Amino acid sequence: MKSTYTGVAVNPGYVKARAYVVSDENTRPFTKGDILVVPYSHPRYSLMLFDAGGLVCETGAVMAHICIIAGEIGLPCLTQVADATRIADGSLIEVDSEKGEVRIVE
Amino acid sequence: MNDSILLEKYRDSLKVAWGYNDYNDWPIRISSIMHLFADAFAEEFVSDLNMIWDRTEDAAEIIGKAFKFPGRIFRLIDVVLFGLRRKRIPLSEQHQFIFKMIKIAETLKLSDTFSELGTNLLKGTHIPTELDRINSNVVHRLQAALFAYTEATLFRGHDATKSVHGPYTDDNSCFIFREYYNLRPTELWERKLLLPVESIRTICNYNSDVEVRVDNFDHIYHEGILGKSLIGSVIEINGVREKNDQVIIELTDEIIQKARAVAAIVDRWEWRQKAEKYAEIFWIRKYPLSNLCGRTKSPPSHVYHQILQGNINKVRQKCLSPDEVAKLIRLVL
Repeated sequence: MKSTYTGVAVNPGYVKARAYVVSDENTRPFTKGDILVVPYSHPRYSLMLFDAGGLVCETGAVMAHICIIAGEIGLPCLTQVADATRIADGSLIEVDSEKGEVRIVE
Repeated sequence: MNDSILLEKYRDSLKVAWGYNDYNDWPIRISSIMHLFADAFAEEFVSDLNMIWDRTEDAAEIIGKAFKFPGRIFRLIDVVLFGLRRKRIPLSEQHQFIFKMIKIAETLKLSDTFSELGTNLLKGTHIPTELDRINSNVVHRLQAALFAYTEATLFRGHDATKSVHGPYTDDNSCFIFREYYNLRPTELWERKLLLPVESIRTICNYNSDVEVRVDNFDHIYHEGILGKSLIGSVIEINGVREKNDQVIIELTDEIIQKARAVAAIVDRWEWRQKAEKYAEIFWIRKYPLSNLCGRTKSPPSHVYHQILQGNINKVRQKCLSPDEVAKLIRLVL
């Protein structure tokens, strides 16, 4: 598995927290402050942003609805991060929007 | 501006809208179901438009006033074109339709018709001289919640409920207006699922730490952090100024709750229910024009029949590549 993923910055900022990787199989409760990692924009995910520490989108333009909402809330946000949903759920990760990077810490 | 330049500029602006190309549209990829109602929609739209156009010389102003926001006009052009193309309407007639729609949008805009300068400035906008000191997080959380709510209730047709205009510049700052209207579309949803308010407007004054642009489809782009750059704001609920943070926080929580409830219902639907709702949303989008012609907000009954008898287009369920989007634009125009 890669240790660094790159993408397009939507909203600047830095956050270090656990990754919550959205999938049908992931039944783990979302914890406030988790970094939301999503395959694409969906209102269900958008509504999770209100408790999230950051957002990583695998696909979608900078104007994807979920990215617009992250921008309004002021969350560090990257999009078009290839393979982002392959990040292990629960990993400690850093989102560094200035550098356009997602780094796996542990 | 001559016709060919007008078309070129429209084509360029369309690249932004169609280039916005997510992997999986919610609640259903619209291009996979549009063939079930786009023909009827386009036919009725053009018929209504031409009826008003032929009736009066002030048609553009009258229709513009009915829609109020130019972004609504621009967002309707390509969906009507989709239906006209399916009906094999001659290209010259399609172009005439585009020119009329642009003329309508121009009656509402101060300048920069296609927002090439990054502005979407509306005539008659009143810039407030006094701003309120509402917490920035409270303002932006409200706006984010409203965005989610409008998407949940009107899917990708949320231009019928949301518009953005600005930036109106003033020395070292700018004003962005976010307008949310039709927040209680009772034709679409049970009353208990909807907010108790009809309209919310936010006016945000940002300092120069953030650069904000708005395009002719009401997309907002920014560089910098909006929340940290807010100097002051005005929030109007049903036209009445609201300064109390706690009232806004409680309303925001209610908006989030309502959006979750509607999205959860839609997620349980099969594709035909989503297609029917989409058709109803399309006719809501068209309603300002329909109303001028004495029509109702509802699609004609044959649209429901068409959806019942038709099928989803599985080929169009997939996302288009940027090359395919460019090819489509060339085909249309």
